[in-house]
Amino acid sequence: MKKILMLLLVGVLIFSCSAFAQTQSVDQWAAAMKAKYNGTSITVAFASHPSTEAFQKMTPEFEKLTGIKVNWDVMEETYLKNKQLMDFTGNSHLYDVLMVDGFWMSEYAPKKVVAPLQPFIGGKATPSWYDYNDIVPAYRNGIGAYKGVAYGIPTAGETRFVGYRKDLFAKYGKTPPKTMDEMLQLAKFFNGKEPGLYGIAMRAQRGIHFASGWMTVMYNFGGGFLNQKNWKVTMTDPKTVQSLKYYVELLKNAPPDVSTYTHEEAVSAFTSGKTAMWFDATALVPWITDPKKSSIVDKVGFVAPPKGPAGDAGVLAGWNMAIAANSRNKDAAWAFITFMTSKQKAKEYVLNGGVPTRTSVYQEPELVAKNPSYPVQLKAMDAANALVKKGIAWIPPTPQLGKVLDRAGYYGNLALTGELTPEQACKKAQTELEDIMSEK
Amino acid sequence: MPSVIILALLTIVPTIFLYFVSFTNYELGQMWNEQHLIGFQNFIRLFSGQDTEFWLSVGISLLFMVLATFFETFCGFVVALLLNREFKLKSLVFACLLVPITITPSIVGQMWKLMYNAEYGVINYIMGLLFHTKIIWLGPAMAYTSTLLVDIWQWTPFMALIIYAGISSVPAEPYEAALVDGANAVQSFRYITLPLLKPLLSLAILFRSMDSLKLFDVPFVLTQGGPGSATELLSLHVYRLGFAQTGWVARASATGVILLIIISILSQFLIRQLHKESGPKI
Repeated sequence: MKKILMLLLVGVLIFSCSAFAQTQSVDQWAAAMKAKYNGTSITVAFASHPSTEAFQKMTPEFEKLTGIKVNWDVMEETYLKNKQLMDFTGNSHLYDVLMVDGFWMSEYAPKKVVAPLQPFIGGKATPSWYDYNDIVPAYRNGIGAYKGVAYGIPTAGETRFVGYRKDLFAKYGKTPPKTMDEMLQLAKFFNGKEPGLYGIAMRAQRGIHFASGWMTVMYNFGGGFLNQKNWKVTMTDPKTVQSLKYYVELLKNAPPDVSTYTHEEAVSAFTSGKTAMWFDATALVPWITDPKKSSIVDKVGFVAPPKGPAGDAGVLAGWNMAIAANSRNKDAAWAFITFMTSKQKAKEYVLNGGVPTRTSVYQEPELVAKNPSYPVQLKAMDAANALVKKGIAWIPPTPQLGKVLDRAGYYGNLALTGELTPEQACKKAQTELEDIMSEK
Repeated sequence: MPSVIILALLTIVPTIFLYFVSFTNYELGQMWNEQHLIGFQNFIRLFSGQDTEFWLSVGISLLFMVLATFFETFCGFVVALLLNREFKLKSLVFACLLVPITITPSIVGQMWKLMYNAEYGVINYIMGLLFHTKIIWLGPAMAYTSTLLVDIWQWTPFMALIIYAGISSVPAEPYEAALVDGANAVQSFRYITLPLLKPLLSLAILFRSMDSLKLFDVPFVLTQGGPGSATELLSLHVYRLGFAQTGWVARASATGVILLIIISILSQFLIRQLHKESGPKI
């Protein structure tokens, strides 16, 4: 009996010791940081996003632990890139940590707007509880890196999937879409079925938003803006044209002002119960399931992206935290990134409304119980993987990307508003993109 | 001399810089030493129609200027004539008229964006109650008109106040003389009020037309130049080229130069008109 008690005691001691050791290592790290950087202040430029809100909730603890003061500069995505590039070009040393869209990485890295992270990740200042390799590899390589070099730590990985109203689908005896055709039929079916109800909501504002929405369905048709092997423009490829036709046709069943929608308007149309379906980023699910923001919390179901004529394809996109190349407080900036994106803090981050990018979080039972959409998200990641296996990056890695998306999204939007037919839009985009790709 | 220095620092140097950049291939995010001169290529691109939105932008900007100035002058006249008599609470009416002018344009944009919202905006709510219809204010068909309405809403009081100031400073004698000669109200307006107001009116029109040609904040907040390019005024076009996603600062500068030239020509024309009218009297 005594032996058992002793064993138990020892067990408890060992257990508490290991727990103690772990917290102490955070404290030790924090103490070391405080010794070096106490009183430093860093400015971070972030987009308005659920993940940003989660990081903001964790900031007071970070400030208390390390003595580093964090100034938040949070704005809408379009202004964000503009301000980051202005800060860089003007060399005003305003920002230390940047929130960088995976889309921008192939432009920021060659222009040296952001600093390579390898010296930091492998450096002494990075504690063992950080665990870089725990981040989902597809995110690490697909969003955070440019030509194999890490420039950003993925903080909000996203793929896209379909949200649908379970109550409406049950009422009319419909099943969620498995193919692109079914999705179009369903959108047509629900559009106007009830007063004030539309078929679907997606993003379609001219420029980068339209391009991003279009790309949600494009690869399922086998299309693409660019051939990623020889970098020829493929806007007039029949498959690309077909995908635009489909997207325009689909959005005829969206609210009438959809041509001004970004992801924010699209998700609010869905959460206010105005549309039967929604096909957008998994990262926005916290807004849909938040009773304060959403009127459809208990009526919503999710399915993986529908198959197209070219099979499965899925979005791989997301946000990074990166260090501004001209920051004067790079080490303090890295301390911020370490704390916010570590494995240690990952669960807390997700519980605060953050978006998982770490394998350990996707598999954490408590979180899976809270977020039943995680398994569907992993399925959607399989679809994204299908595209990766074809050797296609969802975001074409070219320094001209911003221009390509802006212009393709401009012409696509014209096709949506009816100023051009999809064929004409693609033809004009082809000419202009060829011009852009021939720069330099 | 100090005034010359200030002028040089604030206006001349940036303008020369603008001209210089418009002849390079500079892009946002490039190191300054990476750019090089490319001659007239940016301008050739604009005039050869390679930049498809450019001429469209010029067109809608000029149309916007004409329509906005016309309606603001017209409505301003009506309001000023209504103001030109005694009634209760006149000072309150003046205070209310000042409100739109004093609000920051970007706030005006935000405010109207909320009111215009097709699903939950207050305007469509009232339209629904009264006429049982719904207008997609910021949709492709209406966005341009909606932007125009906001501009008219904001700047009509400005015109009204200037015109009112003009009317109330017109002496009473000519009207009395006209009355004796048997002129009716329309005639005395046509032959006395209008000619006496002309110098002031031309000046106000000059201000408004230059201002509306440069309009940026309201459509930027309201529509971002969309949907399609329905409200892509020239100033917005410059912004989008240079600073939104594409970062073509050099091409944006070239467009800015063109905008500058258009405004200069127009204002020269209007100023000359102004001098012609007020010239002999002074």
